[in-house]
Amino acid sequence: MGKHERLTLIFFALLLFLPVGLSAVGELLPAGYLLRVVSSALMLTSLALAQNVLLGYTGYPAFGGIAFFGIGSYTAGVLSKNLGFPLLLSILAGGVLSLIVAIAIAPVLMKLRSHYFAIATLALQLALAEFVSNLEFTGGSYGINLPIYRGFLEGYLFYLLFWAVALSAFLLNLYVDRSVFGYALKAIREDELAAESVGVNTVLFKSLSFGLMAFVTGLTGGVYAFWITYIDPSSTFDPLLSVKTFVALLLGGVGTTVGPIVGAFSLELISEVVWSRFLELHGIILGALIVLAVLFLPRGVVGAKG
Amino acid sequence: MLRRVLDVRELSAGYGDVEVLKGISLYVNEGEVVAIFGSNGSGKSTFLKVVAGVLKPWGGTVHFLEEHIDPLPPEERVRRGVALAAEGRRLFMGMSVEENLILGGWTRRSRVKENLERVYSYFPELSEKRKTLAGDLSGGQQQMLSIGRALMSEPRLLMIDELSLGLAPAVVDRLAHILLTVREKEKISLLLVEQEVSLALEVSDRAYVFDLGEVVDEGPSEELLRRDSIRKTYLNVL
Repeated sequence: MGKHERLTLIFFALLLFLPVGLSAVGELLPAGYLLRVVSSALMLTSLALAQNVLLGYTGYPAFGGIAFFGIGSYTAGVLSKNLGFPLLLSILAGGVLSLIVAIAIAPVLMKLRSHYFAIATLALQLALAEFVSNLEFTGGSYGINLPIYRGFLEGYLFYLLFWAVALSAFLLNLYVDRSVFGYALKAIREDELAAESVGVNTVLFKSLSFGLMAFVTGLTGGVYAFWITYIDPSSTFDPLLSVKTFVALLLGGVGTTVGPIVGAFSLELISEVVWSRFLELHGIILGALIVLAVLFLPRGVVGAKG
Repeated sequence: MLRRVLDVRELSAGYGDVEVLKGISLYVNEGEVVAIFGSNGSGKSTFLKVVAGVLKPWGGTVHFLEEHIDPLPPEERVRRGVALAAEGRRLFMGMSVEENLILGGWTRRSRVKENLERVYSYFPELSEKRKTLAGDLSGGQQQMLSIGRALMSEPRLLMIDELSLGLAPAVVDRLAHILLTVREKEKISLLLVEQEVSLALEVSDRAYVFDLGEVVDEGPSEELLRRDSIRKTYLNVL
């Protein structure tokens, strides 16, 4: 394991104790606010790490990968509100349904490559948003109100869940980075025809990669739904969330294990510091960040160092 | 009679609605080195792609070791012993030499270690550059890696598309020499597609001449080497 990766694991370990530390200093710091910021950063970390498996290691940019964030949050929401499923089971079901949908559509969808693939996934995301807006049991365009969770650990539970999903996503990236499974994905990224001619079942492996992206993204969506307690089509199938995921990934370093985490935390920090003050300009700033990242750090902060 | 490793009958194939192969029949016996040559666009590479299974044929049959392999996907063909070192090497440029080789042994994962040692014994230079990215190798080393990667799957038939492409003659000679050693040691058959006709005829037992998707000439290489029409068209000897 590289130095950066060991540091990242230490970072995760420290984050686990952040709530304890914050409650120790008591009223000195706005603990709720800080936890919320770190929760958002962990959420973006999970999304970027999920996309990294697909784009970074397999070479397929699912620009509309947030479609599975929506599927995950709506599955969790509907199962718990309409059918009374317990919280954790609802979240897990959101991940599993995302996985199933992804594996089912991947063999067809992934005949497309590069920007064609990116646009097709974005179309999926926008179409699903419309679809959900027109269903009765999802509350249409009004969405679903979820009760505020009052059980074990209360609000801290969501911080821990985001933390757990992000850590799992990081471990998944570590696995992909150095396993034989990952070699097959990288071979597809490098040259799909050559991968096929050495005997890699490319349809199977790129579908699995797409499925893993969807699974992690779906889980993240489920946690988000209970955390924010209100979901509607425009916030869960939000194209801006797709953009943020890609900016985090490009900023940190596509195809590296640590990059997506660095990217997500820096972006979340920047957004808290900068665009809470320049609310009208945040779209421009986001756009400028993409341009700067691509121009000056084509391999991201982490890629540039290594 | 010698057993046929590869037996192709009346094969036709193309891209879109352009027919590139127009009824090709070709066979390779066990242990034989067969060369295919012909001008650009004669369908040589397309032929290898169909045999490897990465391009679907329009008609005709392909038998490998007396089994009909047309319905089989590429990975199943590799498992049965068909290997292709594709034109322009098509290496995984962003991955190391060893990672490329490991991927070549994808269908023989339980014997990766032995096969790595085997390939390194043929190409000691690759052994020294295990950790180097394929994209950072010289042209000759890349061709070695391409062949080595194909050998990782323990093929019975090794197909090489343009061995000499972009390489210095001395390098090509060395590669050809190594290939003949491999053939001798492993009793495999070779099917070479080659623009360098004199090389193709020197190292092969038999050869086929493709033109516009058809076989226009075939025979033992020694015989073709003496034939006037071949000498005039392909060897620039008057």
